[in-house]
Amino acid sequence: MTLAATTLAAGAAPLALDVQLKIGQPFVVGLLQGSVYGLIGLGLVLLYKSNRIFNFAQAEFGTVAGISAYLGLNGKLFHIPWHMPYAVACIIGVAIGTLTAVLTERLVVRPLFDRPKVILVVGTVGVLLLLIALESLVFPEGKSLPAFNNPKQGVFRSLTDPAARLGFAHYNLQWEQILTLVTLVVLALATVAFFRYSRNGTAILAVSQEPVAAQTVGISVSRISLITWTLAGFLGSVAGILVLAGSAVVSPGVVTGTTLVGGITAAVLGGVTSLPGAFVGGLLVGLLQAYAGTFLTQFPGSESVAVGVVLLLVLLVRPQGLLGREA
Amino acid sequence: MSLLEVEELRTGYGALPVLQGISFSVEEGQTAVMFGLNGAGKTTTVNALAGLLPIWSGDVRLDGKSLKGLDAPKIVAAGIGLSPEGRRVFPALSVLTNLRLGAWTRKSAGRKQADDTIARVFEYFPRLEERKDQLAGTMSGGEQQMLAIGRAIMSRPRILMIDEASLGLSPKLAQTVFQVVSQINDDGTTVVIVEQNVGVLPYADQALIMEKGTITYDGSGADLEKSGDLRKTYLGDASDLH
Repeated sequence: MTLAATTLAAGAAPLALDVQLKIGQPFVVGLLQGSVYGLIGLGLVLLYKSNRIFNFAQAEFGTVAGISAYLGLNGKLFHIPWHMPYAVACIIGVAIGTLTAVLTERLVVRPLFDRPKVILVVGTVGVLLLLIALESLVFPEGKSLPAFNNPKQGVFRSLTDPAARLGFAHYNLQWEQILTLVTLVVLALATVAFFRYSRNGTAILAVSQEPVAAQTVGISVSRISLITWTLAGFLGSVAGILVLAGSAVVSPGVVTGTTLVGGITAAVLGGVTSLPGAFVGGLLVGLLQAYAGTFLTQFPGSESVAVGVVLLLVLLVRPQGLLGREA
Repeated sequence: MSLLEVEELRTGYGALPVLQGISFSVEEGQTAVMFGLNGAGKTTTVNALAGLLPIWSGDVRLDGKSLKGLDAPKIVAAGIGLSPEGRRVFPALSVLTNLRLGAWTRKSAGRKQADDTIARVFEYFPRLEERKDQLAGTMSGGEQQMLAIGRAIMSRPRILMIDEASLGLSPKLAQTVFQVVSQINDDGTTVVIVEQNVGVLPYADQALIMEKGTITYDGSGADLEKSGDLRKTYLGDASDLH
């Protein structure tokens, strides 16, 4: 063996490890973050299909769910001194987040339904600001929601080792990440199936396309709107819990701050009306962010810049998105 | 007792009144045609009967039962179907899905009955069967009109209302649509048509003329054809020229 060949062989292993860390790790992180964006995007598309508006409060339903889960876990929810098990606290949190969406529909959207759409959009911004203000009242200090595999409070208590991991391309996947990914993909598929195969899913499409005609065939536009907001609230709440579990801090407005732009970009990438498009768009945004953060380390904040650039490019060059059709 | 009774009906848009207290009735099994210029209140009338507009005062009764206060879905379930002005098909859904949505209020009747009604619609409009998988928005105006009428039939209404059946159609296609509507009427459905095309008059058992939110003529189609009142409505009174 020549000296050159020996040197190359010796350097091959670190090189492979480096490539896998720079390619494999961001891939996993990007998929996880992207599927959260996808879920937020799905909620946005759902409401766009139904009401033809962008709901700026979509991600905030997730913050409400996360804060409610934290309060339930620590025996502070509605001053009930019961330290709920983590799974129960999460379910209660999702229920409260979903209820917030339902109240938004009944108290804000429905009364404004016949007004110009821009008024409705401003209404959702108002809901967002109100929710953040209310969260600051009941939850002023930043706290953290434990990871699902937290040995003391987590859902997976049997996995006492928080580092329980599965190997994947030199990157160790945690159980929590697998749970997140599986939950998000299952929810996305269920949402798409709901639209494709259920009666109410078809009715939502009908209402979005011709609300007057929908009434003439006997569809209650009010009921359909409520179903849509319930679904969107549920998706946003689940996304919020998954984002916040194990994250550094839960604070007012946190899910909006961390996922709304990604969710909007996901929806736009998908063409705003396509549910599969929104989810795929979310994955692309997540991957883009992860690789930008890996390869553009000399430019701090490059992840956010990359998402903003993509959002504008899609709007300018391909406004119908990648999969811009009703589905 | 008439199948449809409208008594002193007043309604409008926002605070703007359109109907000034109109009254008329339609007998079961008949075809009533409502004529009038734009803005006369024809569409407002059928929209109020379909529950798309609130009844300010007066009453609407179907087979003696008041429909006042019912919303559109309940009125469809009660037996009034509307093919709305401008067709308003669901453009990004297939012809078949449009038709299935027409049977929305008949969920309890089951899929078999819906399939039977779809078969009936395809007998009336064979073109729809040829295009059943096509997106409704990609069809011609005439085909969309057929679909809108077919979708309204899907709820198996006792009264089928068609708003501007011939608008934008060629005279030949309009006659085809009128003939099919006549056939639907012969098969037992009472029909109310809003029209500006006098070509529908031969199919009318009853004719109504609307002007400025009131009914100025209510009689048989044959009498209207002889009387010249319809000519006066559309062309004006000859004395107006002097």
